[in-house]
Amino acid sequence: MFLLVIISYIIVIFFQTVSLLKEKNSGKIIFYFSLIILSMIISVLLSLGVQLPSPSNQIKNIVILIFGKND
Amino acid sequence: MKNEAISERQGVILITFFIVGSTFLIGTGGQSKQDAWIAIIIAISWSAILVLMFSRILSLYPGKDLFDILQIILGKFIGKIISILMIWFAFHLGTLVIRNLSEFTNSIVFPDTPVVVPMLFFTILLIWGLKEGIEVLGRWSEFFIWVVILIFIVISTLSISEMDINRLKPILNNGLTPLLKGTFSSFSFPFGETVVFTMVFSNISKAKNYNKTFIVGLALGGLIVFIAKIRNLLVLGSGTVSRFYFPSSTATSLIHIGELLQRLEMGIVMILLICTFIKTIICLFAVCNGLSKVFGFDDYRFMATPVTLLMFNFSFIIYKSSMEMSTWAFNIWPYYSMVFEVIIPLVVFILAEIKGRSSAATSVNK
Repeated sequence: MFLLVIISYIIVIFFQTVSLLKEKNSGKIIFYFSLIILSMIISVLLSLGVQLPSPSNQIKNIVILIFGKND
Repeated sequence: MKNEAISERQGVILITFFIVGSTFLIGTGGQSKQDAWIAIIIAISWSAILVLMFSRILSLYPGKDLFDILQIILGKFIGKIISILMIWFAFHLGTLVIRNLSEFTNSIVFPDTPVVVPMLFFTILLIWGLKEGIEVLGRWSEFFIWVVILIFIVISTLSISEMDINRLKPILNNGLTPLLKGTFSSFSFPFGETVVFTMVFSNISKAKNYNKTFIVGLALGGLIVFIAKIRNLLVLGSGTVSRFYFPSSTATSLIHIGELLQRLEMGIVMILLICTFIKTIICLFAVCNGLSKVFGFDDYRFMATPVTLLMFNFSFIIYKSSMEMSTWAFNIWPYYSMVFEVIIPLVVFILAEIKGRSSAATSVNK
């Protein structure tokens, strides 16, 4: 299953970097690749069923810390 | 976003779609129970003030959006940091919207399909829409607003037979506190979320200021939300509304007129898909626009795919269950979003006015 995820990511990357490489702007290429590799890692982990930490817990703790538990 | 101009009318329609967005799905002002309709009216009047502040910020620096203004006022470094905070807010909002839609799809529309599949198609549409740009989106929404309004009016009219005015009584039975809580919650979701539009609108053609755009959009969107809430309350009663995750869908399923007019939830699903699509894509525009301004790129189209895929992945991480989603949305979101919807724009507004006054004074002195 996660092979399917990786293969589809590679297809997407392949189609998009063709036009991006022609522009020869290294900032864009680095940015694009870092984001898409981050996304690929998260997708693979999700397809493997790993429980990733969610930021909503941290935000909930911060809000309760500041405003007090009155709801 | 440099050369893309949308007309004033398209701006109004985009704001209307944005406000109707996921409100149509999970309802708003839930703590007020049967007084939620009063809460919505009060929330609209509060948010009118907020929205006028947004429009003033944008009008002080014509042709620039919030990220440019932040960097002008606060300097490059702090401006970029606060821009990253606002980008995170828009990203989080889009993630919540996608998660909402996936919960709805999973529980009501396609219960047996793994939720990844319809969401993946939705994501592909989002990427396509992003690459086309906001001008295309404006023209698209000009057409689809009529579809949405037509279906909404038809469905609301058909449910008149199920309405019972006694479900609204007793008015203000629970006192003022739940009403204020409901107003606060309704103010932050969905009306305050229009702060995302300050990150998207950079030039509306032929308009001197954005007042009319924001106010008319707020009024129209607020009207649709108000009618939807009143219809839900009249058809279902306040107890049932708070019990279901998706009250609009339940209210529509009660329409049963003859053999033909049954099972009209598909109309709701159509409206929902259109409005959620616009809401998500506007959040994505804000994120991509912001990222391109912070990192100094001149174009945002190349990062459409990774950002959208990140948002899609995040929507699975962000909540572990449906119950956590609704608890979080009603209890934590009002306080958390106050910072981004009110505090940061207020600071920007004050600083922008001060800077405007001082530069006018120096130019007079010269």
